[in-house]
Formats: sequence, C-alpha cells, structure tokens
Amino acid sequence: MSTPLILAAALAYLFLLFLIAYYGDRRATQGRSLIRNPYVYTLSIAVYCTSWTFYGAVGSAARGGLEFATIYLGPTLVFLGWWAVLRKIVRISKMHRITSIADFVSSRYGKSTRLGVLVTLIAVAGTVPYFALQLKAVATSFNVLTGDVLASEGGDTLASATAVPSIWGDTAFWVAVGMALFVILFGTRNIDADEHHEGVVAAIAFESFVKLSALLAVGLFVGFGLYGGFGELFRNAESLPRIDTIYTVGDGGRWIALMLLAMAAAICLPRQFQIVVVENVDERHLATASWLFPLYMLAISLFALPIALAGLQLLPQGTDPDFFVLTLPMMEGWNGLALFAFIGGLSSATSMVIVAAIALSTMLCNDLVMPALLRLGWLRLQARGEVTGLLLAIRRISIIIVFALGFGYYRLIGESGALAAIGLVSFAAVAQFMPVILGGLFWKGGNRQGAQAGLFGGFLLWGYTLMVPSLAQSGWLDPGIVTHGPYGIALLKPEALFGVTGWDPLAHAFFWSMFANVALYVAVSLYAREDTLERLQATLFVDVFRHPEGEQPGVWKRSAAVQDLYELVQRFLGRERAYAAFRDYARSRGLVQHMPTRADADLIAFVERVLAGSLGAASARVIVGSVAKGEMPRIGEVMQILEETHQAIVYGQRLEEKSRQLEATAAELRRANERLQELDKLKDDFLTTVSHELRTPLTSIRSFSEILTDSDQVPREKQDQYLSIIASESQRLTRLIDEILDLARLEQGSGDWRMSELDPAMVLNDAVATAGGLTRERNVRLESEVKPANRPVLADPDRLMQVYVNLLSNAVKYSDPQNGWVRVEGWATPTGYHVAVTDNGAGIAEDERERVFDKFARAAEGMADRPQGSGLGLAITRQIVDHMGGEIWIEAPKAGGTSFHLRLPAAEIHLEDLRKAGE
Amino acid sequence: MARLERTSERAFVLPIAGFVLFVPPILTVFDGPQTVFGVPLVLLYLFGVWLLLIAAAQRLGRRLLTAIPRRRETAAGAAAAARREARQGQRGSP
Repeated sequence: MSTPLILAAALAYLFLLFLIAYYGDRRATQGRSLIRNPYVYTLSIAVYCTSWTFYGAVGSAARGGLEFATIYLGPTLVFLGWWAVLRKIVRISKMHRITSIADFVSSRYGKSTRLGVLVTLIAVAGTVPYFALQLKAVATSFNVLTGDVLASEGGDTLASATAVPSIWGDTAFWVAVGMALFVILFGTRNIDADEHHEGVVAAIAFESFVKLSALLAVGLFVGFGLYGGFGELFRNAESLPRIDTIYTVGDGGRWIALMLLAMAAAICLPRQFQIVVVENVDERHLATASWLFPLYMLAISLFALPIALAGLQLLPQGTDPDFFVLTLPMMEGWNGLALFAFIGGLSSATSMVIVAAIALSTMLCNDLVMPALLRLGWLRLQARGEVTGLLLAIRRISIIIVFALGFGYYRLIGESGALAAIGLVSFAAVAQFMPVILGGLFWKGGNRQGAQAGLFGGFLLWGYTLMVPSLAQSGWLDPGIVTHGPYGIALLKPEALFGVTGWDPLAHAFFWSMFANVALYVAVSLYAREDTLERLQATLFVDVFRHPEGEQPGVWKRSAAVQDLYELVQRFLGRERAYAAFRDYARSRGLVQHMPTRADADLIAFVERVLAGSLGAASARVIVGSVAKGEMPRIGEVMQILEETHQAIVYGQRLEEKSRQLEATAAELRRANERLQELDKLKDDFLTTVSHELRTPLTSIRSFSEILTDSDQVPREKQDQYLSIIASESQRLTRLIDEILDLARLEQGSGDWRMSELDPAMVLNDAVATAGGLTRERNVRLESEVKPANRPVLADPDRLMQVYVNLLSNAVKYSDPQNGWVRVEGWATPTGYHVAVTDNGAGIAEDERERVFDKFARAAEGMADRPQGSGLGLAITRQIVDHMGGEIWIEAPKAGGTSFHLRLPAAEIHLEDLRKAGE
Repeated sequence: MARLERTSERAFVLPIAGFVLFVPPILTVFDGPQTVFGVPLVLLYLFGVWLLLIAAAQRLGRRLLTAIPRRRETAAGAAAAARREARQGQRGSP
C-alpha cells in the first residue's frame, strides 16, 4: 500500500483526536459534560486494551492457544467484584482527592513521601517498557502495511531486515511527538490534577470504539470472507500440526499466575488507576461499567483465536503472528480493511500512550519532583508570588521525559521479544502494588514501614527473576547468570530460585516476588511502630463507609494564621483558585466573607485537602506543615476521638430512624382518628335519618288517632279510612324496624345463615313467579329469560330469594309509570351464575350509582312521585350478596332505564373453567 | 435493607465464582479437541460462562445502584455547576 495514503489516514485520525479532545474540553467549560455518562466512562476504561491486545492477543493465541484469554478474564473478575474493591477505592479517592496511584499508597500510609517515591519509581520501571511496546507496534505495523517488512517471525527479520530507520524516518518518533503534544495540550491545562481531563477522556472513549470496531471487522472478514463461517474455519484448523496445543489450558500454574496478574493490572496499572479512579466523575457509573466493561473484554477477545487459526493455515510459515490482523486482509487484497485495522492498532497504541503519560507525569511531578524541591528548600515557602507556572512546567517536562524514556527504550532494546512478553513483565511490576492496596483497604494494621518493605522486596525480586534473564538474553548481562547462577551459585539462578525448578518463568517470578512482598508487608507491619498520622489515615481509609462523606473529624489540633494559609494556597494554585476555594469553604460553613484570623483544625484540614488535589497528599502535608503548628495527639486519643465521632454518627442515624418511626406511627394514629370521626358522623346521620323515617308514619298515626279520639263528628266512612291508614302506617313502621334490625344483624355479621348448595336459576324462577302479583297490580310487563345454571352456588335460600325479590320489586317500582316493563335474565358463566334485572325507568345518574346502595339513599331524591320504601332494601341486598361472596352493581343500558347485575360464584370451580374465564 | 444485604453478598460471591470457573481444574474438564456444532467445546464453555457472569452482574448492578447516593458532586462538578449558574445569571440579566 502506498506510504502517502497510510500517512494521510494516520494524520487525519490523529487530527480527529485533537478535534474530539478540543470539543470535549469546550463542552466541559460550558457545563455540558460529555463524560458524565456511564457508557463513555466504560469505553474510556477500555484503554486497558492497548496494541498489545490489538495485535498481541492474536499472536499470543497463535503461540500459546487459550492462554491469551486470561488477560481479559482478570479485569472481568475485578469489575464483577466492583462492589467490594473498586467502589471503596473510588470513594476514598474522592474524599481525599487522590491524584494518582502513588498518591493513594502514600496517603494511606501516613502521607509518606518515601512511599510515593517508591511507587513512582516502580510505576515508571513497569510502564516504560510497555510504553516502548506501543511505539514499536505502531512502527512495525506501519512497515508491515507499506510492505517494507515481510512480517516474519523473529526479531532479526522484523526490524533488522531493513536497517534501523533514522529517528527522522521512524514513524514511532512522529507518533510520539504528536502524542506528547496532545498530552501537553489537553492533559496540563491547569494545575488541578484531580480535575477531570474531559477532552482526553472523550478522545480515549472514541479510540476504544474505533479499536473494537476494527478488530470485529477483521474477525468477521476472517470468518465469512476467508471461510464460509466459523464452523468451517474450526473444521479446517483441525489439520494444523500444533492444534492440540491450541485448545488446552496448558500449564495450570502459569494460567493462574496470568489471571492474577491481569486482575492486579486492572487496578494497579497507572493508566487504569487514572481512568477508573481519578477520572471517575460519578461513583454510580461503576455499576454500569461492572457489566459493560466485561462485555467489551469479551467482544475484543472473541475473534482472537479464529484470526490466529486462519493466519496459521493461510499465511506462509514464519509469518509473525503478532500482525495477522494486518497481513490476513492484505493477503486477500482487502487494503481498505487493512488500513482500518492499522488505524485500530494506532488508536489502541495512542490511547495507552496518552493516559500513561498523564498518569506518570502527575506522579513524577507530585511524588518525585515536588518532594525533592520542598526538601531542598528551593520552593521558598515563605516567599510570595505564584509558582503555578513552575508547576505546569514541571508537569510538561515530566511528560517529555516519559516520552523520551519510552522512545529511548524502544530504540535500544525494543526490537527483541514478542509483544506479549514485554506486556507481562510490566504487569508483574505493577502487580507489586496489589498487596499494599488491598491491605490498605481492609487491614488497619498495615503500616508505612510494612508497605515500604513489601514493595521494595517485591520489586527487587521482580527485577531479579524477570529483568535479569531478559537483560541476559539481549546480551546486556552475562548469560551465565541465568544458566549457572551468579558466581556459579545454582541456588540463586534467577529462573529457578532456591531450587524451584520446572516452573514457567513468569509463574516463578510472580510467585517469588509476591511471596516476598506479602511476607515482608505483613511481618514488618506487625512489628514496626506506627505514628499517629498513619493510624489516622488507616482508619479513615478502612472505615470509609462508616464516616459520612467529606466529614473528616478534625483530630489534629493545629492552628495557623488564615493570612498565611491563604497566601500558601495562592502561591501554589493561583489567585483565582485560592479565592474560590476559601469562598466555598466560608459558604459551606455559613460564614459570609468574614473569616476568623486564626484558622482552626477544620480549615487547615480543608486547605491540606485542596492542596492535595493538586500536589498530592505527601507534598500538601509538608507545605501545610510549614505554617500550621500544633502537636498531633497520641494514638489513643485519636482513636478515641474517631470512635466518638463514629458513635455520634451512629446515634444520629438511630435517632433519625426512631423519629421516622414515630412520624409513621403518628400518621397512622391520625388516619385512624379521622376514620373514627367519619364513622361517628355516619352513625349520627344514620340515627337522624332513622328517627326521621320513624317519625313520618308515627306522626300520621298519632294525628289520625287524635282526630278519632277528640272528635265524635267524624263520619263513619272517614273513620274507616283513618283506621286503615293507621293500620298501614303501623305495618310500614313494623317493616321499617324489621329491616333496620335485619341490616344491623347483617352488618354485625351475625344472623343465622343456613348456607347450602342450591340452584340459582330455580330460585330465580320462583322469585319471578312471586313477583307476578306485583307486576299485574302495577300494570308492568314482565319478561324473563332464565337459563339453567351449570353448577350450584353456595347460598342461604331465603336470603337469595330476598335478594331477587328486592331487585324485582325495586325494578317494578322504578319502571316507567305509563308503559313499564321489567326484564329478568339469568345465565351460567364459567365461574358461577349471572343475573341481570333491567327496567325502563328514568335511570340513575352515573355518580349516584354507587350511592343507591347506601342506607336510606334513594335515587333522584327530589323526585315528585317518590315511590314508597324504607330505603334500606338495596343496602340489605348488598350486604347479603357480599356475604355470599358475590358482586352487585348497576349498569345503564343504552336504551335507558337501569340494569342491576348480580354475579354469584359457584360453590366450587374447576381449573379448566378458570382457564376459559381467562380467555 | 435485608434485601440489599443479600444482594451485596451476591456481589461479593460473583467474582469468586467467576475465578473458580475460569481456572483449572474446572476449566481443564472442558479443554481438549472435542467440538460441539463444529466449535471447540472449551471456547463455548469459556465464552458462555463469561456471558452468564455479565448478565448476572448487570442484574446485580441495577439493584445495588439504589444503595448509592445519587449525585456525588466532586469539586470539579461543583465548580462546573457554579460556572453554569454564573453564565445563566449573566444571560438572564440584560
């Protein structure tokens, strides 16, 4: 493929990155952040997949079979367990404004400068080879694509076939320069290291998207372009000579060591810590990343093995499997796809380079250069004048140093060794942080001296068991050290330490370095003395979920002049940020512009936190210590204060819980009281109505009997008429009282019920026959269509009769006075029996339909020709129906009038019927 | 509250279960040249379990989310919010 085309594509891609980062930063200043989104966060975490993944996973699959998957299973497990570890790290880092992994370790172990230096050095030692690897991958992939190299296996042909290019002609150099520019532009816009690099994160997320798409495209091309699907690919692969070694787990010890290394790397790689922890804007995003990032890992490793198998079958023997991703499309003449794959590889390399440079430069500046400057007294703390410019310069120079180191390493020894091997050496170095981080999160007893000893011992053994053999291999050291041991002492052979032979070199190195690390960390921690600050930090870290957010007890009784503190912050952070910080503090404490002249422990802790967010905890401690004076109390006292604070919080929470319960109870009582009052009012209403209803017949009885008693001149026929009125009114009175008693019994739930299984249709026919007299009397037409019931219902026969009769007489009463008719229907349903009684009366307004079932309620209260009745009939009916487990309601037929519906449940039901009813 | 406790216990167990399933000896039960529908059994096992774990994590994550306070404002977030406020204030006043 032509060089200018590839160069143009690469340049265009890098230019796009600059644009995205610029846009991301602009959105951030507008307050419309791009990265406040769990999906962008997850994609940015995929910076884990470097060119080591993009090219190397296929190479590793071709050489070692399944083994490549361990590198992606490890981070999967770490994110599946986010609730236990990652969440805690993120919470702590937000609270203490952690700026890097070195800052985290140093802050946990008493804000120790020395630990910060140690972690920074290990991180640099572990990252530089990895960094070089990315540059090498870019350069080699470029050469493969331009056809300069035949992409064959073995270092000798890979780079030496063409003479080592001059620096100016080396693609890697220009990529390094471009990326250094990118990081300086977007990674050091201001001095606050804990402020998010929004533009950078947005660009990284975009790169993750590009590399996944490219790899999936190549995978699909291999499966469906080169073969008729993956089944065919696997079938054809069975004839490969080494196929047996591909589908096996192989050395179990190496497998487990690789998994553990990958798990440690997912947290401890400086760039992972930077993206997952420091750049995290919202703890809740972790919940999404916990499954989406494993899914990304799965997707990116899905096609590694098929691509490797295809390359082994189709490409000539000796082709470098690390670049199958490029050479397979090229072989078929799919140059566009090959170019896309090259861009994917470029994106995976640049994303690693960018984030690693930011993370390392922060560490170099905060944990190496700043402490040195402070110790040497070059940053005259008493002087005034801002040094923010100096700080930014330090950070920018650190970036250039990181790039120079990486590029130098690549030029010196980057040409030997497969991609995967270099990556694993890096992993093993940063894995040394794992014990002190995990111990720091869960074990208060782990202290500074223990951490130092553990890190130092682990790092030393890492160097001895991994770096020495690799240096010996490339001829920098006497190979005799590896084969016979130093000075011929076989017990000290780097790859068979203390006679442990027959192990895979990586598993061997991992075991010994971790053994030394953990053993020293635990043992020294148990015996070393710790100071109060260490103990305090340990408690704050381990118990982070016990202390409410941001509330750090002001244990350290220090004081300082506010003036001094202000000038200090101004000196390191600039005028504007200093003012903003103090203003925020004053606001949060309810002070308006008035600060006390002496700062209390609280304000000093705040200033230290603000400085720590830019300079790291260790430097901030030294700087604040230069103006704040006061003794740190003894350990016992500190612990007591912490415990008291914790107790107070627990009591507070309990009190809150109690008061919530009390409120709930009070609300319940209030509701109960309201209900009682309502019932009381109902009772009063009932009594009023009852007395009113009783009064009407009583009044007429009394007045007619008085007339009869007082006057003798009443004619005979009048007397008879009056007596009959008295008799009928007495009957009405009796009926009314009977009904009231009846209803009272029903409502109390007593009353004698003689429940039996009976045929509802038969009872309905009886009721219709009984009602015949009434309809004839009123001249109402009665139609009935009663179909037989399938199953008996459980009811009291007299009560059921009462219900039917009530409904019928009611319908007759309310039907049209001139041309009335009543229609009775009954039919069986799958779950029982349904009765409908319809009249052609005036109908009931919709909002009255429920009310007619109330006591003494009659429809259309103001009706002139109000029919006679106690007003209790329907209330009684509903009580009876409820008791029998049925339902009664009113519908309005379209033609007018009223339709009462009654549903009676069958005494027993078959499942089959229920199913039918459901349909 | 009790439900959350159980959920978080599951969240602790999930990665451990994953680790056990992904290392020998359980893994070695499935390796070797056997194929199912033409695809090597060990690949089906590896990616199948992987996918199941992801599904489980997704369900757990949704439940655990309720236990995390909604917005954890960082200093940067607060600063951005303040800037936004200030700008809106400017826009609001003529």
